[in-house]
Amino acid sequence: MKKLEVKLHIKEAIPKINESPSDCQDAIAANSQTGRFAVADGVARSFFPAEWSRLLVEQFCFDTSNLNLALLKTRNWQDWLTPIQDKWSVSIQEKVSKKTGMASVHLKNSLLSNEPAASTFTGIQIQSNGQGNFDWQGMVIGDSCLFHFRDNKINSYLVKSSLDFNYHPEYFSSVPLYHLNKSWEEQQIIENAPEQR
Amino acid sequence: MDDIMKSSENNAGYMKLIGTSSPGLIMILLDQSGSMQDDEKAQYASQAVNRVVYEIMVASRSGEQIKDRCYIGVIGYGASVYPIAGGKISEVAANPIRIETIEKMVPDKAGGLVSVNMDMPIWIEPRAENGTPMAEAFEKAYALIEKWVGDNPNSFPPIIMNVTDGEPNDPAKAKSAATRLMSLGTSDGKALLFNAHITGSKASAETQLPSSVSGVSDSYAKFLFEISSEIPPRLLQEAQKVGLSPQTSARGLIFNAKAETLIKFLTFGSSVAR
Repeated sequence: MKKLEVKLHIKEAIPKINESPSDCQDAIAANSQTGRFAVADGVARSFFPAEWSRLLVEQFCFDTSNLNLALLKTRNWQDWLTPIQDKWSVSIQEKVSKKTGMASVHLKNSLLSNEPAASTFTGIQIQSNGQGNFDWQGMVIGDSCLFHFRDNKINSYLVKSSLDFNYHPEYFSSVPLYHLNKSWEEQQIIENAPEQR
Repeated sequence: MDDIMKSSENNAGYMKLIGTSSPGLIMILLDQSGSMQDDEKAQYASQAVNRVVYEIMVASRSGEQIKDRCYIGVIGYGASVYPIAGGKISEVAANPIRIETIEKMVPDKAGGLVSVNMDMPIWIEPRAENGTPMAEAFEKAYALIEKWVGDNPNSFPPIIMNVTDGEPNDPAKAKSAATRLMSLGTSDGKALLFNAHITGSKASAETQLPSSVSGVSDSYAKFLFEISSEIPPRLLQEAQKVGLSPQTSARGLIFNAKAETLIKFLTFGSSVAR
């Protein structure tokens, strides 16, 4: 049986022009055992985006619940987000409760206002299809691009040109309110992309 | 007319993004003359400025920290010309003069609205006394900004927003000082001076972001038009987002503005910092 070999080349996050590395709100996770890999880019102006992007990639790559493992089949994003949103909420409340004085005022106001964190998300799953080959599936939410290099060819998902990026990308929100009426089927999610070797 | 006012030169640049390694500067000049006590103008103007400073502070957050993407300056002018608040946004955020508890409607988790009590920092108290030393306010701003552009030569140019309800003590001197202020700049362009004339009269028709002096009828509005910078294309989009309706070559001027329009103006004028 063929064994999947994975070589990870993880480059450090590069900050935006005029920002410093500490301003990055990106997160990355990889699980070679399950073939799950994810990158998330927290929206800088949102509320504790670094925490949110980290929780997203960790849930996708390491959570062993059926909800997570079957995600790319069921596309049950709303339910999949719920435990992650709960973790984020608990974490942020704990952080804010420890703050005192002026440092706490704006943080407490944002908690009271149910301000969310927001993040893009790109996740892929590579699995054996039981017939000696590997299939991969993925999803892209927000202004991200997944590149697939093979046999000197490049495919990009979902955008085909830098001009396709716009100023109003989708994102995963840490507060359920902001996804109440979302229909994820309408979102641009990568179709199954089997690869045969 | 000065080079500043030629649209081709004024629109060159204004593309830099602000960030911790290349911070921006937002300066607000606030008229605190005696007439500001009429129609609660001093109250709503100071509330508007407090709100904008707070929103810039929140937009500068990264997790728990306030990141210094922006410098803030607020200068009051009335009985005297004095700095009300100023410095890096983290420094301003840490030093309000008091905290005020207000009631606000916020989204609840079910998509409705709920009333909550919030503690809001206050940096500017309403004041209204004496005349309108606008020229001296521009001169004070010049001294501060001259140093700032020397320290930040490649940042997005400073944006100065002047909030006033009436004519300056000395219009000629004010015009000269304003022109001199707008001659400062960075490698990304000249400083932008935007003017907000406010009124408490509900009957007065507002003028929003006019593109030519023929678009304003009042002689004082013409004066303010001549000391208002043309809005760069990048900021025109921001003006549209807040509900203002600029045309091409629009100047950063609102006249006979009510409280709501003042908020929109200050929001658009500080958009580079958000």
